[in-house]
Amino acid sequence: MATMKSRNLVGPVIQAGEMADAIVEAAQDDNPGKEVLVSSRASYIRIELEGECILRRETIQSKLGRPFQMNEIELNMPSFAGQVETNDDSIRFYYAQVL
Amino acid sequence: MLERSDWYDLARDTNWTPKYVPEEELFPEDYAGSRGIPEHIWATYDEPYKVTYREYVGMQREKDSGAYSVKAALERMDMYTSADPGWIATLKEHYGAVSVVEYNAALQNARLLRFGRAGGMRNMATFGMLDEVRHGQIQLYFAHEYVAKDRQFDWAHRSMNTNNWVTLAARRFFDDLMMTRNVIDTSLAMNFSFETGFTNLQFIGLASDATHAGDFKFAKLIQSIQSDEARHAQIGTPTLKILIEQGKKADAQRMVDISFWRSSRLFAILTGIPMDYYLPLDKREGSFKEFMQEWIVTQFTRSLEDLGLEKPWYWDIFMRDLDEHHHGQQLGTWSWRPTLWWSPAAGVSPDERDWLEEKYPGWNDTFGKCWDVITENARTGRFEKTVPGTLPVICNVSQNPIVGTPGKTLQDRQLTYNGRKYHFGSEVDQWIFEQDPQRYARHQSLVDRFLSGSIEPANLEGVLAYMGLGVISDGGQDAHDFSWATAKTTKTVKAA
Repeated sequence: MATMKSRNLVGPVIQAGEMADAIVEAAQDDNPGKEVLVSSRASYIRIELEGECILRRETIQSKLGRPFQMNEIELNMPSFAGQVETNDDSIRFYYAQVL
Repeated sequence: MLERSDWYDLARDTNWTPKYVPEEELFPEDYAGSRGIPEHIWATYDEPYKVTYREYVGMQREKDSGAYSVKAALERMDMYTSADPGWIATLKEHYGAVSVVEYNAALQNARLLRFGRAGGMRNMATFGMLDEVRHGQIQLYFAHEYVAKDRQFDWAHRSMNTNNWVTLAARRFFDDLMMTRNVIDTSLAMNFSFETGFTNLQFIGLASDATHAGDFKFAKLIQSIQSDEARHAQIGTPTLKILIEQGKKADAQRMVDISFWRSSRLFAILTGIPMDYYLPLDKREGSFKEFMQEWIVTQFTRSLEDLGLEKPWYWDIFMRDLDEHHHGQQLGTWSWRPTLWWSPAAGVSPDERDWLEEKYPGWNDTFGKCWDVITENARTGRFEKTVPGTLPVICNVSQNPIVGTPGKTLQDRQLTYNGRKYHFGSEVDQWIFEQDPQRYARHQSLVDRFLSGSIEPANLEGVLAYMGLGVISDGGQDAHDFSWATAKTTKTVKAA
């Protein structure tokens, strides 16, 4: 991980497990050209991207290999950094003011 | 098939124009806290985390079956018997301080769903209310398993109906911020400050420690709870945006400043002490300060600034507190352990002291000096000297003992108001009192009650019984029966 952490990092905190792996991979696909920082703790991982992080239902579905409704992310997401916007087929984390 | 977004706004918007009752009677200012902001502005409230009842029920069922099946699967592992007493202390403190309070949080959400001016707030608060009922039920159920093994677990159900000093502090906190504020203020204090900020420490940070400690049941339970919080905590965000847009930023900032400080003091005892003293050394994910850096100093304050507020005015005091306050509270709570419903770990064996010094440079020269005396008394069998014979001075806002770094920041601030003398543990606690003296002035701290004669007999025995000790269960003892006092360091000692 970068030594000087940006102040604009946003993204979900996900319980360690199958879903966490799928979301890390989806974050890479859904945010092309952006570095996906992952920090691991015993019970959760923190996924962080600069300024904005989008996750799409279809991407997560394909990573999991089973049907997935966007709101199901809540089952494994005890927290997140940034503001949130929930849509039918995606969830977006962002800062309104990028520093 | 229609997408949720095609009908959501219409379905959740249950507003109508009252014909028989004036609006100010339908939404009394004391409850609604509208601040003169008109109906059409509240209608712009846009909840960022949308959910429908159908989705909600499906998800909550999944969450419950996940947590209960982990519990069932681990039933035969008998984590309890093999667990370190420090971890058991953490569980008891948590269940006693948290479980029943969840029902109060359901009442708070119920007020939001009745008196919130915005349809979106009412919708989210409906789910928030159901969330909190779930949290009360599931935590009482998980704790109940241990009551037959250890009576102190009965405090999960009973603590909030006692006058234990820890209960007085917690109840006073929730009465102040959750039960007696209008819905706008309480959505800032609880949904925003408390739930997007501080509950992460206990319900996610501690889950990592639980995983290390092998208590997967507890880890699953508390992360499951926080997944509800992540959603309904967002009730506060659109509230904040509307207040700022309507020129009420100072008003919102004041409420956040009050609730942020009060929360930080509560979690220093609830999370700070277990993380840095109760948990076995090899099970610790990080120090309390490191978790505070991750969840509060970085994540929460960045959101605060993104929404247009500033860091609280006392930021320097808060940052200094991160190195000090919970160490003082650990000295106090461990020393007055007969007054607790759990048996606290001292957490100061030579190895643990090395860890504390590494995480909090200077600890040995301040708090360590106090523990030197305690350790020497314990080592030489003078156990009676490790328990104070007098009552502490208690802060009239936080209701916690007044503590600080020995010889440096320990200060009892005093104020006389309407002929009565009040004590404060910090400049910020005094500032909070002065914001609204009527709110705080009549409350009696445990020491006030003792001195005014409402505790009888007026001796240690009387105080303990008044607090429920020896009634619901016996009070605390040293978790490790002082084995730490004679423990040797496991590190190789360098030759001089």
